Amino acid sequence: MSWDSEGFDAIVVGGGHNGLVAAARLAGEGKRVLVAEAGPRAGGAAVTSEITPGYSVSAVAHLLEGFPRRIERKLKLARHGLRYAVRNVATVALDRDGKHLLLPRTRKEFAVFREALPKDAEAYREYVAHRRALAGLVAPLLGERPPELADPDALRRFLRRSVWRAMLKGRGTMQNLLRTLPESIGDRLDAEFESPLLKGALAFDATLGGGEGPYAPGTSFRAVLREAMRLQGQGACLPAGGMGALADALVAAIAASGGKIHLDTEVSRILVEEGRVNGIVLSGGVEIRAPLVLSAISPGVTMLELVGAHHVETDDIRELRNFSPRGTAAKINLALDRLPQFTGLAPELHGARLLIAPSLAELDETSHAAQNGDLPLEPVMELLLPSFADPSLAPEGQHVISIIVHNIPHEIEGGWETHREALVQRVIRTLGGYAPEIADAMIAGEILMPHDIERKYGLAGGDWHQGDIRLDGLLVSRPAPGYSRYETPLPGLWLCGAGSHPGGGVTGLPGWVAAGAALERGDA
Amino acid sequence: MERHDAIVIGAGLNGLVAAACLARAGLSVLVLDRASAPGGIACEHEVAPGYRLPRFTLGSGGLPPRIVADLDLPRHGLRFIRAEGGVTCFPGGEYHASYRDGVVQRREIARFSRVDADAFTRYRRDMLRAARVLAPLLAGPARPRRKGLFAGLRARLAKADRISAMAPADLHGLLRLATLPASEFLDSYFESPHVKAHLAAAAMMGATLGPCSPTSAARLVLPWLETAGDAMGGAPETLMPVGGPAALVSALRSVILAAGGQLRMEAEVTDIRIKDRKVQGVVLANGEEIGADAVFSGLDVKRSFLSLFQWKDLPEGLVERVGRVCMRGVAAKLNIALDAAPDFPGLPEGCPSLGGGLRLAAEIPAMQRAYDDWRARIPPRNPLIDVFIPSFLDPSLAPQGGHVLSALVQYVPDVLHEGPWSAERRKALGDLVMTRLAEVSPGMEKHVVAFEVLLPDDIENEIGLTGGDFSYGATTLDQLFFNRPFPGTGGAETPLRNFYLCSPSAHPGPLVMGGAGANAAAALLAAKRKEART
Amino acid sequence: MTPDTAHPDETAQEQVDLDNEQAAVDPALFEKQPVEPPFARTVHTTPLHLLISAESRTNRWTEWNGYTVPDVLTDLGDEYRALRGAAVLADHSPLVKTRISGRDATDYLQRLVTRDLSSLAVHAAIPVIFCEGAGLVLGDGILFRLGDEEYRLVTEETHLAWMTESALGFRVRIEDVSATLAMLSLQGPLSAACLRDAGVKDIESLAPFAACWADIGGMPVYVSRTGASGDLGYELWADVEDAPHLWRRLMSKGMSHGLRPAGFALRELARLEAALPRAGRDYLSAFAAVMSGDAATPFELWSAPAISLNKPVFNGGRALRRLADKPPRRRLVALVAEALEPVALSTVLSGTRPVGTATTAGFSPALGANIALALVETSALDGSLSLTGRRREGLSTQELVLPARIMEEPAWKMARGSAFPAALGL
Repeated sequence: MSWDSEGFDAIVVGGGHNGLVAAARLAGEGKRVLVAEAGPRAGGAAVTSEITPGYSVSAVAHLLEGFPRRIERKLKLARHGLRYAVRNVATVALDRDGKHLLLPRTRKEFAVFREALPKDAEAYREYVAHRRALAGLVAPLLGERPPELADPDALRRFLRRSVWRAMLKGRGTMQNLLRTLPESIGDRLDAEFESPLLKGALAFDATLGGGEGPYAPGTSFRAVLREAMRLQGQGACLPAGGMGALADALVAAIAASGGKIHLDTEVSRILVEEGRVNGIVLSGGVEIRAPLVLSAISPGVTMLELVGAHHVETDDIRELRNFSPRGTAAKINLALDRLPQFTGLAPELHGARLLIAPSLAELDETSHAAQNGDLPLEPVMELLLPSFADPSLAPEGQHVISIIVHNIPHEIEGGWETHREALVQRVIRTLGGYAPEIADAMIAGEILMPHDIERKYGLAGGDWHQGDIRLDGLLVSRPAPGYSRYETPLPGLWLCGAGSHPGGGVTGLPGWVAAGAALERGDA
Repeated sequence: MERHDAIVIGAGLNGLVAAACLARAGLSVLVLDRASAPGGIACEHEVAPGYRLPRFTLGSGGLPPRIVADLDLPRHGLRFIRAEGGVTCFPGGEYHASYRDGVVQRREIARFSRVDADAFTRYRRDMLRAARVLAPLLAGPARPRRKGLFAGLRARLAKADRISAMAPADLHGLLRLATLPASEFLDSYFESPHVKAHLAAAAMMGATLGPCSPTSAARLVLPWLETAGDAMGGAPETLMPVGGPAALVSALRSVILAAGGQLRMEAEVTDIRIKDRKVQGVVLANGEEIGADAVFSGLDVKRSFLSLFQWKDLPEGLVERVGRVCMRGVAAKLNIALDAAPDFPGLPEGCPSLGGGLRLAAEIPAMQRAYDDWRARIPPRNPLIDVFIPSFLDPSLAPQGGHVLSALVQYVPDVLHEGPWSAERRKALGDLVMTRLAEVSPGMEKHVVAFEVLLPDDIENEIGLTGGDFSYGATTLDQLFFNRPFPGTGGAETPLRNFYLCSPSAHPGPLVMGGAGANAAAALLAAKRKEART
Repeated sequence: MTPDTAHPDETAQEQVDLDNEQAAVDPALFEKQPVEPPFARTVHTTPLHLLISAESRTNRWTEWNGYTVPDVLTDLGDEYRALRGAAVLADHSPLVKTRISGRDATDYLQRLVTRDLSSLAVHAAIPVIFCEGAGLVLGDGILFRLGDEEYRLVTEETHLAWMTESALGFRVRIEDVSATLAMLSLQGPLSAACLRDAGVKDIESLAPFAACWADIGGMPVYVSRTGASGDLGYELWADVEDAPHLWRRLMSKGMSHGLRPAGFALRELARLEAALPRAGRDYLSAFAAVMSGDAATPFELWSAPAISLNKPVFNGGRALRRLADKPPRRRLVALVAEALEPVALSTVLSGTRPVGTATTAGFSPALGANIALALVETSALDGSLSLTGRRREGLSTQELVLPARIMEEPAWKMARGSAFPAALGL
């Protein structure tokens, strides 16, 4: 392979969706781009894989929630093959007694909702409006480059602009925001709603991905952030062919602009010469030079392992080490020989996002268990039957189910190998309470613990959200002061992964904004 | 009808401070309390003949110097002593103490880790810097009186400018302090679990948070708030009134009387007269009516609004907002009389830090589990116990040779998962604490003269504090500053005219002793000045 | 056998695996200390204490880094005259000595300190500054290179936490050897002669900031031509058990040259005359400075700080590059205030406006005037300055405002301090 003769303008380390988005943007601007991906396929958490021949499923993330339409349009992803099987997927909170609750999206659905929960309906409408108002305030921040903390003028402009924005949203907005920031979602929901099922479902979304229970301060704001993420995108969408379709479209976009993607290419080191980054060194020892390197992998690994502590100041190392994602969600994918019937669930809702989070108390209990390193007795989880809307994923009449198990310990005494089976058993048993035939319908399956996700798909710590979404892990502080504007202190090296603002989830935003900033700077 | 410029309901510490400030400003003030002696939760109590100690509180805190000076308390006989930061005893016999003297403190930490001894310098700097930012916020009302749209906007823009002018490292540090769990924050300084647990234990007292709950790091600053100078270079000290809370109460009482105010005990207020959303006066249990230009409530926010008013008189939505305020007891109080001085063989003889109290704590993960138990309403298995022996400092509190011991047991649920506390459960809790105490002071159980356990429920029933919550409302960030007691307040003023909240339910809450009382008095005096101008 | 490793506790212990990427800290340093509670004994003494206390005629003591050391042994004037006219010997063991060794020791130090160390030879020393991320000084000291992969950093205050934290990712071992290594400071124009008589061969050929091993009375002693007196001087590093013998031998051999023992006050005076700032006195370590104004940047403290801005990455480098373009807000300057007798100096005034604080002040016998090190606002440096002072007579104190001027040169800086070969006589 004659790597060196090719002459790249930019190298993207890590072919996760953020790396691909960054590469696509750079390539679209006419830069010669190389993506170096260590694994056998690109896409990171956005991949489709086969459970067993004939049965495909989104291996990690299973819905596209916050992928902005503007990125999709600018990169012409539709032309490169991105189709949606369903847009705006419904969310249903599953009830043990079959009185499932559809979170309303339309007026008609709201009427049904009001009938089911007459006492909570108005409060729900208010809660959603309140959450949306705050999300509207936060959403613009997610798609822009954070201000420079060390530059008082930039910070002042940013803060003043935020004050104006809040003002324009109405008088109480700022007050609401300041109230919501430190609040716990559990206290909030307890104060406003009666239905345990509704509270469980709303809290599930606020705590998913973080290791904290619904009563942890700050979780209320997470619900707002999540809503803001959704506002960026187009609601929860299911790409046809699974999440891998997004990765495929991005790969096609890069190829169309002349960019290159090398798989099974592990970067062992980032080349630092005389205080600037000049390329990468592969694990085979091959050097590839480029004036710009964007790292889509975790900031800690990038700076401490690929660059090396020699080139990073001690304060930065301290901050980067503070930012260490620890995944607390597992993924289980099952192949089924028939459509599992959920007791009491309307047939057309089998394609919805199904939540098993019966109450706040249960969410709280599982999170305590996880923090103490115990397996939850009755796991809380999110289910999706992608093959319901997208029959291409499984042979005719057969199905795949994708399960995110929330609140499992990051590490467990004795290692995961001994507990893997126990977790699957508990998940199946819990599922059996809602869909009795599921155990009989199973023909194959796979389970991914956080460390499996880290190993197979390269997510640091196996954490979908790349660090708890907290105030100190957002904007100017993500992943560390001095690194929050994608640009690192090392000239020529940029961060473009989920470790940077605005963070995890399949949004493509870190990659998009980072590439834009690098282009603007003229580094590429 | 009897009439006063101001009536203060409840002769607790904050009520007395408010009354003293008003009386010294020349107002005619009447303090009413249903108990027979002033003091509220700080009132003195004889647990056995001759053994005196504060009944509900630990009694280890003092007023901030600002209030002491404003009220001229030293002239009324109040003296303070400076006590060291206290000792934490761990299961297994290890202990860790705090010392004011920087050199001694360094040596103390070096017993666990030399690196930590050095890291303490940076920790101390960051704590004192944060305290400097926080102290002014706690010294007055959390927000100025309501302003017009544009004035409010201008104020916010000015605040944005002030924030952006801060040093980036300080800004980042404050952000971390406001969001992180205490455990994670301490991890970025120290490696020794004992050093971390000692610092966390001192901060978690009274919190409805565990050391691993997000935002709990902010509590680490609390011990540093009143450390004015940093001359000694070590751990923060505590300023304690000689004679305990009783001395504070009697000095405040004497200030009020000297300035022409009145105190009336055994006078329970049952109702507040209200007309056009304007408070007119109070009605006592015996039917007597007393008129007042302003009424101050030293009761917690729930009792203030929900039991003193006819609900129909309150503005729309207020009842719901008050109802939503989170008030849950987290601590039980144990009062113990001993006929001999307790001996602590695990501590070095004459340890000066013992004067600042003794904490029986476990390492941080165990502390968090104790908190989890509280959340799940499980009776404590491994509680955090704060012990204070006031008779060490003031032997007159007990008969010759005897001692009184106060213990506050943290993470005690108000109601258990199985229902209210049963007699067996109560006894088990008392036994557990006694066992713990006997571990650090063997033989103490043989010297017990009297022993009582006050659960959150007892505290509510006896003194009327909702939920037995000594904090008068949880001190999580969503219930502090401008969110205290509920969003949009942040001062002593309430939606009712002439009705002020002077209990720790109002800003700054229990974080500054007497602060709420002083704020409330200042609010009325400012309103009066404004009235006089126009 | 070097003094650093000669201590029995250290040779006996297990070697730390240097291939381990983790920073290694000497485990012996983490042993439980004696049962004595920390508050019980406030007097900590150096190994030379008994010996030196016998010399004390004044009973004046002071605290230095937690140790009780003599402030003045006989008379400050006599000690000063010996320093400037002959030689003085002082115990500087309370200084903090850190041994840094391992395969990455050079790389580690290159990132730790602000100056470039690539030219530092074995058995040479160099003054260094180290900063935190915002470019504020954490400390300064003298770095000795003892071997290819072995260094010793001598500082005024301990920085163990910072050094350990910085070691992450380097194969390096950090040990605080303060307690196992004694240091005697021999300063003055006749110090070389004293050493020659004590048995150090070719002492005159030791260049400034160079060091060598010497045998003094059968004791291995590491001799370096360093010291903060602005004059010729040496520092002797020896095992704590040898130190008293070394002291006795030097005192007896140097007697004919007029060698005298001296205390801490003379060290401060000599440093003041040489215009060298001291951590904890003229500036606070950035980690100890509660008020942000108490910490300083290197540009404020030194007129030409030892910073290699073109060195790619070092702690504080990012911030220092930004700061280097701007003139510093304040500067540490040496001021002289004309007055014939000692006055306690405090505030620097420009007109009537306070523009700085005298951080160290004293009466310089060399100039016959009061001198001070003061942090002064840069904008005021061009105008006329004055210093407020206080003089006490009987029970009354007199507040004075003395005209002050900035000294371009330190009050004491002798060419012989840097002459090579060193002068053996006056």
